[in-house]
Amino acid sequence: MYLAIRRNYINATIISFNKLHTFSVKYNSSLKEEPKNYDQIKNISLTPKQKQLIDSMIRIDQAGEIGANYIYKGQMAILGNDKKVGPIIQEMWEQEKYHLKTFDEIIPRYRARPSFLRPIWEAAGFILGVGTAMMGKEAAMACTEAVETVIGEHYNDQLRELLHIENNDISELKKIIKQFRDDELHHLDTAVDFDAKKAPLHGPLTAIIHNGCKAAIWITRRI
Amino acid sequence: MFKQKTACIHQGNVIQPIIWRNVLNKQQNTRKFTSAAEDLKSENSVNEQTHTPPPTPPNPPNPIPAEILRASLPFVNQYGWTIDTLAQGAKTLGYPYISHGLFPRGGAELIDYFLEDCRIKMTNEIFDKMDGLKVHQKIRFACITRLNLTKPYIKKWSEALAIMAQPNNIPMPIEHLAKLVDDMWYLAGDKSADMNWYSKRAILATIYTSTELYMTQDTSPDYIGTFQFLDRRLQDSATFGRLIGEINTFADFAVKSTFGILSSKGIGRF
Repeated sequence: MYLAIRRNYINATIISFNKLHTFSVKYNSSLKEEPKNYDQIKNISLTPKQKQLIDSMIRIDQAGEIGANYIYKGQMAILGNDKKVGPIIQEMWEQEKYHLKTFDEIIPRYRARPSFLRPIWEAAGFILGVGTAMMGKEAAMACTEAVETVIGEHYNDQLRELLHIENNDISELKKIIKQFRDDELHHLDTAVDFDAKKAPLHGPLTAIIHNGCKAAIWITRRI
Repeated sequence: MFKQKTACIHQGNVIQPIIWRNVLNKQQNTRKFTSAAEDLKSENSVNEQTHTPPPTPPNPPNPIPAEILRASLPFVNQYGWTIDTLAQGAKTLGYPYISHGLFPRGGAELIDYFLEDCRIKMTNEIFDKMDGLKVHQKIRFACITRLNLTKPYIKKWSEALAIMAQPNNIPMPIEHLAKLVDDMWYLAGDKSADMNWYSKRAILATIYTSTELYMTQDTSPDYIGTFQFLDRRLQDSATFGRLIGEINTFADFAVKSTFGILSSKGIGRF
């Protein structure tokens, strides 16, 4: 008898931590006699708030990788033949492709919602890539520098937030974000090595791209 | 001792509990100064009360709203999605008739509970029976399971649809529909992470709602007509999806060949 009550109590507490059961939280009651739900069986034991946080995180990361992919695609369309920076951009692009593939796999696994504005990020990234590449190699590298600064910083912020959540379900996500942050910062170093600072109007250009990326993050967090 | 019971009065949007014991204690206080002996007795009893730990109440102090909602569902076919149903549900649990004041939105809250409950029941019922099915079979299975849960209340479902269509209630059914469709695709093993994520959910939402609407008017035995309707809609969406895929391939081909012609003329490098 005691055990049965105890089990009911534990079930109730676990259920109330589930996204599927925001309802029970809303009504301040335990839905006893309810069978286990799917999330519980899958051992995803995050609070609704944490789930929301991770949902928006993954959405932003994926959108960022889409943007980065299309920036490199645009740059390659113009600078693909260049013997000096062509292979470097290609190499960075390959890494971004891998990042995007990883986030495409993570989205269904964590049941995150992809960004609704994906076509806009694709178009904006491509235009940015083509535009900066047309301004010259240095401007293209300055663009990479600005974008990777924002993305690297943002990954760092996310990692800081994730470290507060102690849960085995997201240990994999932490590892991935850590690795990707290092990759992005490596791209930043590469861009600076290839004369990013010598670009025409380096200051205003990077400032515009910087703030544009931040605005995109702000929008993607919501949509 | 007095049995601790509470009732609720609904004033505007604020629900104020009345604790009967306090009311009765007040009555006792007015009677207190009748004689010295009674006075002493009551003092003793007060002392006893303060020294003994408060006993745990036999019943939960507040009526649990979810329990009332669950108990109300069997009355839906008789009274509709109304306050009366909620009152009947409260009555079966031994709570006063006016407990329906806990639900300021009335029937809409009962529908809210019903939709959430059905979705959870559906996921629990189907998640371990999906092995070896194809995606469209999984979706069909999920839809049928969910429709079967609405079946007992289908006579009153058009009434529920009318309540859900009221302007202040509109966000509630949309949220439930989004969650339901998301669960269905998740259980079907959908792995899309681009715009397909949205289009798949939108298409399934339209299919599900239209089938449910058909079901309210269905007179065929055992709702065969509804399930045939569902099959036809699913087939339509499959052909629609294939058409979109073909258009995409064609557009891709056209763009690539255009750039190919341009580059052969020596314009740009793509």
